[in-house]
Amino acid sequence: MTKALFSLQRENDFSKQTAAPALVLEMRRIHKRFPGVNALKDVSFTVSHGGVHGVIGENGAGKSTLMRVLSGAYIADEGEVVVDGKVVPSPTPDAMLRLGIAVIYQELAQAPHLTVAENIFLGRLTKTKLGTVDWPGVREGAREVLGRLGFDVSPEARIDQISVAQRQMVEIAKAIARDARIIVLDEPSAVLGDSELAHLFNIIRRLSREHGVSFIYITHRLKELFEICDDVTVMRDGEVVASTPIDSTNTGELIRHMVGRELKDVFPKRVEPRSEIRLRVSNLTRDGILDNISFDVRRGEILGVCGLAGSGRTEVLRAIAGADRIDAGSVEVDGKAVSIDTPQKGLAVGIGLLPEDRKTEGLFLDQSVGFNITVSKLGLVSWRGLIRPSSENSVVSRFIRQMRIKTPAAGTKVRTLSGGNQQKCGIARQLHAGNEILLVDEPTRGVDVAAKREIYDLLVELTATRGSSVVMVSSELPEILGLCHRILVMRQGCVAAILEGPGATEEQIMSHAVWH
Amino acid sequence: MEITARDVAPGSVAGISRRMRSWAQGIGLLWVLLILCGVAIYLSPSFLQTGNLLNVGRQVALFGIVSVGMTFVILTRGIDLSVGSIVGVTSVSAAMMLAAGVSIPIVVLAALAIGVLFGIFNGVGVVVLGMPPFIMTLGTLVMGRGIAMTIADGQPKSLGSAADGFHFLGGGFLLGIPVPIWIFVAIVAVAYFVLRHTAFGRQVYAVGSNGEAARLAGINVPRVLMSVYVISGLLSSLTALIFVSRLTVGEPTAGTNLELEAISIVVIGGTSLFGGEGGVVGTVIGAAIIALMANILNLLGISPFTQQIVKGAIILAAVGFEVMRHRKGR
Repeated sequence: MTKALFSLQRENDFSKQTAAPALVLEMRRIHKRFPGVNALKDVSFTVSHGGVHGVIGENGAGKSTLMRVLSGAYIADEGEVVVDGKVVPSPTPDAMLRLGIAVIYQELAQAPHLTVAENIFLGRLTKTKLGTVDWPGVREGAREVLGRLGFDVSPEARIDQISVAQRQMVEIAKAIARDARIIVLDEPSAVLGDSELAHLFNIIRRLSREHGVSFIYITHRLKELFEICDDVTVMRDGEVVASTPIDSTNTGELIRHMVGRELKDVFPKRVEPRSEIRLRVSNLTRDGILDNISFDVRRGEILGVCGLAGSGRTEVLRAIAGADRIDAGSVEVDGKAVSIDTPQKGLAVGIGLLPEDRKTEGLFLDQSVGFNITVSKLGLVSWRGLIRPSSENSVVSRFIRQMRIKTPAAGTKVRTLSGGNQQKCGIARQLHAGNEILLVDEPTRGVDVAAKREIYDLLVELTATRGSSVVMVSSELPEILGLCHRILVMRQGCVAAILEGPGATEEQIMSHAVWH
Repeated sequence: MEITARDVAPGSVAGISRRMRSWAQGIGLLWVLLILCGVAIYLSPSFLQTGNLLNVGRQVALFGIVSVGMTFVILTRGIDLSVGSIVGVTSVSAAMMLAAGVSIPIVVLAALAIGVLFGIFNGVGVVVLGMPPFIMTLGTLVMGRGIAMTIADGQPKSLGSAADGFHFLGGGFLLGIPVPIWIFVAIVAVAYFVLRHTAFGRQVYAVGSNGEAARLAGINVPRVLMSVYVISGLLSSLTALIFVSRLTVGEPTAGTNLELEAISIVVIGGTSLFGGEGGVVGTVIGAAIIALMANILNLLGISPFTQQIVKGAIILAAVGFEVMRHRKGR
């Protein structure tokens, strides 16, 4: 008996390095590689029984990948997942669900036309003897779970008729109905209002304290961590850079951990912008998305726009370019008020948008390089609506040469080019159209280092020699700091700060961008 | 300009230009057409008789004209199910106007105007109301047939004494070749030119390739969409005029199932239902393949019922091929 106990204890000692009592989950030395990216590097992560563990990090830090490994959606290349001290032999989605791990994603995976009760029991509706669904039983079960959790939602309400906060509650009820013991919340604050969030926090506290449910709470907002979490883990570039009880850290330290990297890319020298104001945006508002945005951009200036995902940075560019409607506000170009409600009108005053997702919004992937370059202003290569092949060919080959677009021919489909060369085609289209106000959204995303450098050079050259104005959204802070004359930081659809580029630091930007 | 192997994705067709690729596809279709001709000659020497050839040609022209309009619509990733009903409405309207003694030029203009109006109706539904083209034109198909039946009171409308004067358009000959074939050739030439050499044609491909990118690139997407439905409507009512002229009667049921014929022709001709790929040359060959196939089956004495089975199988094969090619490309 003693011996058995002893061996059990030994085994326990072996399975956990930390002394914390009752670890319900341990992820040990997880590695996950994708082609070209090392998404998770030697990540270890623990959750204690009834604890709330916050995870924070910039976009692309590896938070979501880690949670996908936890839910079984991804299989780790190395490392193991340990639940209740036992290694999970095959971590499939099904197995993780049965072990009581539930992930509640930001985009809720619910059936909008079904009722709350049906969603709670989705996929495992109880049956009657005849094989039909036992509807009274299902409703009763749903009512029981909702009541136990103190959720004020009718089991008969349809999902598309209840609020987002209530939908979050339904997801939590669904997890609890499945006896989940570890619930992952993926940025709930991105979709919830303040009072709804407060309510969610009450629920989290009660479930963790009274029912021993553990939570993993992913967020961008530091303030929430201090409000709800027991522990916090900071991720950066696929690695855990810090993991600590929340009481022994502070906001400044967390921000330093989140950004802490050196400026290693080389940027072309900044040239002073001219004094004339090219673009002035006043009180731009789009209900619920953009709130009273005002700024101006001078000739020859590169204005960086940064902020966390969902802060409205992309939406600002789209609103100015006429891609999305606006509810209030005005735009002036060279001192003249312009009304831009379609991209066509934006183009007419020289405003061009390089969209965030070049594959779905930017390029015609199955058309040729030439097609993609001239499509915005076919008038420049035509005569009375007829395209003149000779003038089109010479324009296209000039861009291919000048911008060093690596393509076998002008007639090659853009789909077959590398990311960097695709992006150059998109920029070439803007230049062909003669746009002098360029709104570029993540211009270097998915682009290799050499092409990145070429894009930087190009943007600087355009502003310095032609006096073009560039507004650049980027989630890569080093490139914002390296290129921009001024930096507009967004938070929650508002302008949080406008900083001078030279001298600004990542810490400074992040402290404006995060919620605290 | 330097090109390294690294820049070309393995297994892709990067080395072949778009033009060469569509040319290769065209050649593939041409082979099918030639083989069909060979089979037809082998099966029945009467295939090569002038009368039969002209018959096949007229068939190609009649279905081909509507299919050219359908090609424009499908290139924008849309569909126009209402073409047959537009033919029906135009047929009875034109016949009744002719019988009432309205002069031929005015009848022609009025008939074409009917097609344009239907096109605008479809365009408004798709562009302004944002209805899926399939549903919008399905509604027009059903309504249009009802309108034709109502106007004609369900009865075929004779042209009366105007029949002879109006015979030229559908039944006449020019240099020994039926007039509808000339009309078809002219329309194909114009459509080819528009799609290949004009800014508008380029925009049709842009909208079909990626509608959102087209909008963000400053293309007037609503105008392009509106135009293709108007073109399709216009060519449908032109087809109706040829029908009426040839048959000397305006039938409210004229053009029934024509939309299915036209879609089959366009798809067999290699225009992608996913938009942005294909063109009018393929449509001509598609129309010829369909007409030849019907001719061969007739020459073989195969019953019309069995013919339908064969035709359906060909459509499935063509679309299946297209879908598989598309999937491989992604």
